[in-house]
Amino acid sequence: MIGQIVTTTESDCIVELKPASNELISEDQMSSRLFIALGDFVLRERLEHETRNIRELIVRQAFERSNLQWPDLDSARPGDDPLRFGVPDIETGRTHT
Amino acid sequence: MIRLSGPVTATVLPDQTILGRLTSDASTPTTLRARRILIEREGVSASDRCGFAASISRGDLDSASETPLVKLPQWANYLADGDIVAITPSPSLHVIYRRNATTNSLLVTERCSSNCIMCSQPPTARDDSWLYELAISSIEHLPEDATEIGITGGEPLLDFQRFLTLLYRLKTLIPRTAVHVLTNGRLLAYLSYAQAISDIRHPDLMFGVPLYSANPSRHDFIVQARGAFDQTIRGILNAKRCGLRIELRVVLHEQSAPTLGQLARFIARHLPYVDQVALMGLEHIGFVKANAKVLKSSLSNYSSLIEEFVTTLESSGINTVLFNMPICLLPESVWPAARQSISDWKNDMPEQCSRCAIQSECSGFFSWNVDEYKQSVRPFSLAEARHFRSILRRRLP
Amino acid sequence: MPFSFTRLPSQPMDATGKAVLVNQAGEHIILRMSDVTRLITREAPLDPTLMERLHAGLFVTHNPRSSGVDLVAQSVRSKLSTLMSGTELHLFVATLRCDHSCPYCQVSRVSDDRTAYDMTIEDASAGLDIMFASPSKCLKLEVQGGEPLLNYPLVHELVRAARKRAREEGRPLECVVTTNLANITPEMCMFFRDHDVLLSTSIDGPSDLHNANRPRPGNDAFQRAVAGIELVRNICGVDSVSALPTTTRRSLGRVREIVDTYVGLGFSGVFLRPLSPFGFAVKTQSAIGYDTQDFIDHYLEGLDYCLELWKRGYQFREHYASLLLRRMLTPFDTGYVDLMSPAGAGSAVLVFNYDGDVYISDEARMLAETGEKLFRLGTIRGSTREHLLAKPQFAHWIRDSMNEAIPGCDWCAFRTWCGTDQVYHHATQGDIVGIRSLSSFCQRNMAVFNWLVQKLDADDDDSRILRAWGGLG
Repeated sequence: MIGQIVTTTESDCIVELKPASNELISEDQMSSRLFIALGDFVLRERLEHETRNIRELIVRQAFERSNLQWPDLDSARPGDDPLRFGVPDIETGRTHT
Repeated sequence: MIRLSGPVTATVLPDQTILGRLTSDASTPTTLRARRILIEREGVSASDRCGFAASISRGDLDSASETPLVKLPQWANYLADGDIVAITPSPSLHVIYRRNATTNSLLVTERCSSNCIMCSQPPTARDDSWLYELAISSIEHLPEDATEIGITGGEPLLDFQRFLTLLYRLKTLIPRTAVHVLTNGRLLAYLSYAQAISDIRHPDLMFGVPLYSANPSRHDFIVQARGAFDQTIRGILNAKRCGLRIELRVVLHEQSAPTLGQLARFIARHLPYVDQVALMGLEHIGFVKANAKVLKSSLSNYSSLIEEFVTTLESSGINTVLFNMPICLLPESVWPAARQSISDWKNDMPEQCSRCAIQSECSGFFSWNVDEYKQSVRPFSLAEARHFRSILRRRLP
Repeated sequence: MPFSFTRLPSQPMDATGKAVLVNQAGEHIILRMSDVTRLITREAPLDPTLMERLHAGLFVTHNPRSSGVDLVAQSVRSKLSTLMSGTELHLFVATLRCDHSCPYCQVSRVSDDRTAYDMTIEDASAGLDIMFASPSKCLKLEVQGGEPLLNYPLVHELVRAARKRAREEGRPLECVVTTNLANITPEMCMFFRDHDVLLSTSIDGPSDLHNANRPRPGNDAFQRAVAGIELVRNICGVDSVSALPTTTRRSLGRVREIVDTYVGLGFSGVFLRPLSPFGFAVKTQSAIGYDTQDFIDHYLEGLDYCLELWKRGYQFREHYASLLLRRMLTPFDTGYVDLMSPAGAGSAVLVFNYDGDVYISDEARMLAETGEKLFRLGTIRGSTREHLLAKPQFAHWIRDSMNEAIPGCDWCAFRTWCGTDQVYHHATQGDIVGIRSLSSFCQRNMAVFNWLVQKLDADDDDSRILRAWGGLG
């Protein structure tokens, strides 16, 4: 489908739609497709909102040599274990399935 | 399978641990004797022992000896000239290095931060720093022409300062010997660990790191340690950043099988720079016995999984090898990837294997797997052996 | 974790329809829309096996501080490393003169006027200075035209000087000369052999098609090209010459014959290209042009035919699809400048034109022949590399070519695999960004990505062949 915005006001946006290819579809089919496409966009908005922080983090981490999430990993001296990776779960009481 | 340590009877106990290279030559020049342990032949006298660090007798012990003297236990009958042993005050005998072995490893600790459900060396929590000390002391006795030394545990990096000391000694005293360290890699998530290791600049160092699934929960379950996956991945990334070589190790069993294909694709996409990937057959020892129900499945059930795994990685240019898997249980397409990974298996092989025409080229299996495999292995005929060798030849560069 | 998704065409437009999800590391997975909705809204749990796949594929993570972030960051970093590693490809337009009069050609002139249309030795030499100032580990020198061999003395000197300098500086250098081979001599071949030069020529299809597309006096362009290929192979080696077809309206409907021609000439693949919308091509659009859907149909038929040949044992591939598959299936860079984000123009490629000017891409200098010199960076002589790249508009072009920020691209499922081309969009829509839905660059790429994704999902012989094309064995 190809759409073109005809008019926009504060409350409304009027869009003109026509099929991109030469297929024959009814008005009903057109509007249902439009609603489905809009629904997909709502999902995308939601996904973007949910992943905004992580996306920024990824880009910053891509350019940053040190570990942004876990600074201890870079600052610990050799032999130190501030995050206790060397301690078996039995001792720390961490549980796992 | 070969036993490497145990108590001994002795007259004249050493007051501290003695290390030395075995020799049967009672006329060894006196200047060398302090670093040699005499393994006695018939007719050795007390004066012959003079100057040696210790002496090992095959017969009755001579209580008049001035040199520490122990009796060779039955299990150590395989000892030969050039082997390195340690005799402790307890007294016990530890075999550190065997000249005739395909591989030699130094066990540096039995403590571990993971608790893998299929661990062949179940961890203990005791303070066993004497093991590390023994390993460090033994380096000066190792022959300069030793091809490769393994460092194993437990988790060798737990006692990090001793690890660095050991690595430094390996570099300075036997620089031409390759070193292969088995580690869970989790402590390498600290950049300074990877950097400190890299700073030693050992010329031929490789880390064998386990990765059992691309799904963090599954990997963590298999190693019984929460967060292990994340730590291991970060460890691998740091290792790469510091120029350390990594071999990924995957043990194949019922818990790792379901996501094996996924893991291969994960490695190909995110870790294509690893130096090698090793897929390993399960050793029926240690925790495996207790967890048999959730782990065990016959190797032949995994044929297509193994094929897919090797193909995915090889076609991404990643060197892939198979350890601990007998050739007769593997699909033909992966024969070139199989390696002879088990030394000394010929001592315990099932009857069929003694008739097999490719026995000398097969990885075989551990003696504790014999019961498991003796139902399913089959010997190769001469014709099949020729076919096998032609497949291997085709793959040579 | 961040990803983008699009419904696959010819799927039902409801919750059962399949969609493709692609994450920032370029990994993809196909799910039903019902699962996509559940994944994003978290209103209902997903099947555990599916969840494992999503975890392994870095589409979901247990927590935002997981190693998944490091791995995707690693991917993003390596994709951008080409941008940061310096310009690799340098084009030298040796002359605009040509002895063919191809209606689709953007630039050439049939002329004997050397001063007007030939590159000078001084400009070539200054161009080499700029090229060797590039920090890129590997350098690639490509000689274009018109017909470069009509200015052979310059080509000879340029290649000789480049090889000498590369040897002295210890830098890997690849040399390519594009030519119609109509004027090649054994002496030229020996020179190219001795200086490790690869030749790239045009073969549009069987002789009648090729000659109709590429008129020259004597109407024997095809015969000369084939004879040239044989000569080059005999002197320089079988792998020293490659060929590309250009697709005109005449080519449509004949893709199988075109592929057969390549198979017959002993090539192991073909790069099926559409017409570029520049220069002469636009003027003769009505005679030789076609619309995007026609090209897409032609191209996909070509792909099907190559797959068919492969199954019959011919090991023949299509190169554009192979590039796309490499991007989709591996973490490795393809180095293909026409499909980069930010655009390769100017960052991954620089063009030294016959008239002494520097442009950001081959398309940019072709556009200049129509009078639009917007994408000119400066002059070869009197400029340093830094000076050229410091031109303020250049930074804007790069910034505006990042498809993460282009409306239409930003939410597209295929964004990670795709690229942008500001020059193309300026030429076709008068705006370097353009409206995606009107862009045939976009339409073509989307059609091909959709086709490839669906083919891979079928998990059949074709999928295996396509994976091999992508470099996975």
